[in-house]
Amino acid sequence: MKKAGIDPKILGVVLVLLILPAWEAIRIGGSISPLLMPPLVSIGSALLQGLIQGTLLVQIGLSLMYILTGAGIALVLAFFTLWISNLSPAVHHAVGILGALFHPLPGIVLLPIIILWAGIGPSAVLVVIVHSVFWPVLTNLQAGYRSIPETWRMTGQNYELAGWKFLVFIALPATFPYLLAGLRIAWARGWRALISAEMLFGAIAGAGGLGWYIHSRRVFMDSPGLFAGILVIMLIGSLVESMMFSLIERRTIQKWGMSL
Amino acid sequence: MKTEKTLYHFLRMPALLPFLLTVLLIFFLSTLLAGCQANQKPAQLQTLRIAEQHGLAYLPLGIMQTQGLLDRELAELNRENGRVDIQWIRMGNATAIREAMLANRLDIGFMGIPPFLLGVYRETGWQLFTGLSESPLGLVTLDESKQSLADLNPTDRIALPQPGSIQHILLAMAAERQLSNPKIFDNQLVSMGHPDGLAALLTRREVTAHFTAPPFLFTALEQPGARQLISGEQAFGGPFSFIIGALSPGWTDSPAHTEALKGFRRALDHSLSLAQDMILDAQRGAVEESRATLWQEVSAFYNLEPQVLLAHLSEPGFRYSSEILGLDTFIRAMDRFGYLDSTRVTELLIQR
Amino acid sequence: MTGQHEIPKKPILELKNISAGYADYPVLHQVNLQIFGSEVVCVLGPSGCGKSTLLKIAGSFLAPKAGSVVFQGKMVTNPDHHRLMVFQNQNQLLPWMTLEQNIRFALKHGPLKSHPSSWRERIAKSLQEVGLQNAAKLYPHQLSGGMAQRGALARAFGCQPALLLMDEPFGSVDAPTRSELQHLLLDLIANHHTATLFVTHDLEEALLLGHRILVLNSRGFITLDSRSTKPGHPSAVRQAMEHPDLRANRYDRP
Ligand SMILES: Nc1ncnc2c1ncn2[C@@H]1O[C@H](COP(=O)(O)OP(=O)(O)O)[C@@H](O)[C@H]1O
Ligand SMILES: [Mg+2]
Repeated sequence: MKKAGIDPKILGVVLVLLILPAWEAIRIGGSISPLLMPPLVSIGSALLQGLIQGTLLVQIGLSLMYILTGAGIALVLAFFTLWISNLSPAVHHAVGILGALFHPLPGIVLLPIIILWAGIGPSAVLVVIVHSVFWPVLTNLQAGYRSIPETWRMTGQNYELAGWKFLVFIALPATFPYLLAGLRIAWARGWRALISAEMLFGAIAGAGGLGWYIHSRRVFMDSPGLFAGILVIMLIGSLVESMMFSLIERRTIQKWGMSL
Repeated sequence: MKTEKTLYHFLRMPALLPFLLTVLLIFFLSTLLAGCQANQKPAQLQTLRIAEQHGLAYLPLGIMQTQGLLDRELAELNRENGRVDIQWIRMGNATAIREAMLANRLDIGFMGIPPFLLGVYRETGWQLFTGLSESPLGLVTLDESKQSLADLNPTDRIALPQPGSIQHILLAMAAERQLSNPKIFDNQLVSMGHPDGLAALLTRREVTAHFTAPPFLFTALEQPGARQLISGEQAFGGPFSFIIGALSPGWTDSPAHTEALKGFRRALDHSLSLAQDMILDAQRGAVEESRATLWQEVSAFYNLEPQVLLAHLSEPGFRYSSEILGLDTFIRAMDRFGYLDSTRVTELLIQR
Repeated sequence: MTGQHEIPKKPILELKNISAGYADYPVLHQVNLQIFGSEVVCVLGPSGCGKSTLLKIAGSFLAPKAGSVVFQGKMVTNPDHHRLMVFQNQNQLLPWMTLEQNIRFALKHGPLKSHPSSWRERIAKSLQEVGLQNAAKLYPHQLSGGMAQRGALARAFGCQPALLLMDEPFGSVDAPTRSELQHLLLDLIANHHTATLFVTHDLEEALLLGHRILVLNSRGFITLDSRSTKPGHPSAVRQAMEHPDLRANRYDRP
């Protein structure tokens, strides 16, 4: 149900248009040091410079590559786990218990241990992302799999779809709304975990991603650059959510009338 | 009556209420943030907040604290309101100290010259008021195959506290001198505090080399197969001040501040000479009778056995002095590397 | 109306001494049933007596506890596309495919696996038969309840199965639509000569569609088998209407 009146898109634009002058008003009104609140112009030019010179672009690319790789690994693992837990009820229960224990654990909490086991750098960052993505995707896949209507299961059986064919042609599209919901949670968690991981422990130049970018802006006291980095993280986070996920949703489960 | 009613209607207008609230919020936030800034000028000094870091380079400050030297010097100040409240804060890195100073949470901060210069360049208004120490520094590897800087491959990771730290600038200076490219290692740095960096070095897997300071430097060098690829002095091309003291811009010419600064300098001079005495003891290998309690108290403060502290301080390279060495060389090097503009920084330093 | 039928001697499906149920919960007891080619057998019985269970056994979706299922002369244990199920559920078309794609999906994995060239024609024909030629590109959620059931019929008849298993397929549509669908089904069966096991709890529907009526009582026994050869045969009607296991059913309909 949509409430009449405010179009969320217009509201978003209005909100941004309000925040920008408010920022400047607070900054100038309180005569606040540009190191604490840099002028919008210098944030903008830092952003532009980072994009043009490519330093920022490289780090964005790195971060996105990390999260895509990590999410890919996590997805494969989740499907595999779903498959084996369908084969044996014991595995199913074991996975359920592990999920209940690990799902609520923020990836960043694991980082010190991961550093000990997987070392610093890309592998540690990947482990954090895999952890952040795997559990929400798995729990959603399992919930989705359990809720496949009997009529679709029987329809699949009727056309002699068994084993992997059943998984691909019936189970996957049938659980797609759940998978998408899981991926949404996974994205939000994974993105945050990634940036924190890059900033806190795996702060490695050359393979640091946006977290390193922010870290290096901070140690060089480059406040406009710091805010530009934060802006990019906000933008990517919400672009993926509002563009990618809603686009996929519109093209799939909304078109199919399968919204949860 | 009438005005009340119009005001009521005015406030009821749906478009205006959020607007008014926004203005109020902005006003509130500005005053809040403005409060963070250094612009109050008290007639009396009530608190003095001093930040230091870990390691033997800060020994005079440890002496000052254990011996109560500063408290004695400042005893006469702020008599009406009791004593000056002296707060010592030990922080993990120069970035944290700089940010605390920026937020007006500190009066004095001790750090390496490069982080200080970066702050000056960003117009924080900090003043350089004293040197503190020279110290041995070094880039250590445990990898037998690495004999010199040139042996480090692009896949070899180098741990140091952070980009822009004195270790980073020294590494760049060494790379400039020996490999003609100051930025050659910039893509293989790992940002780690000294303890974490040492732990990573000891795994012999995570990082190939660690640029560090005592006591971590000594521990690293004691490992089998350890080699110092370059020392701080070799990298710099001579002696330099490792740690200096910076005053936050909140310091004024008011009598209270002037007196406090004078007191701090007296306490510092006293502790610098005590620190130098301790170095003499260490070089002789025996503690002079009159300094036995000093050694006891300072060792306890650093959680070290007096024997260990003695051994550390007997290493060559320590010198405690208020002299500031190598400032210009750092400014010029950091200008060449693109981290600051030397004319601007010099201007800002002289202004004060 | 279908008229007289030649009933072949060999049954197309034979349930022999079937007992079935779920876990420790027995539902069917010693059910014996033979269905002959192109015969429409309606199963009546109170709710929960095991009608759906009977269909699942007939389609090999559920393994019997005892007894055997013989289809076209062979013992069967797995479902196949020669015995297709049509459900009451209006969501039985797969929602992520258009109507047309649903039928293609069935043909592709079912009878026309190796004849992709004939899919188009077959799809068009089966949509035509149920009057949905204009709805080919619609997704299932865009179809009305009646259209969805027509679509399910198109998908099933498109595969030309030997036996249709229908579980109250018109049970959840309004009365006028149900009547339309019933007549559509009569036409389809007349054209395709498909043997059908049709579950309903509506006596009138059974009388309209069935050549033969079975009554399953609430204890899971077949208590009546009309063996009539003609829909609406007076003896079948009388037998069914007076059957004690169905009385309650007749009066609880609005
Ligand atoms: N999957 C199942 N597991 C356990 N019991 C079931 C299951 N399906 C049906 N039953 C039970 O078996 C009995 C017969 O069910 P069913 O064949 O669906 O009856 P109906 O005649 O209404 O179609 C009912 O009591 C029902 O509760
Ligand atoms: Mg039923």
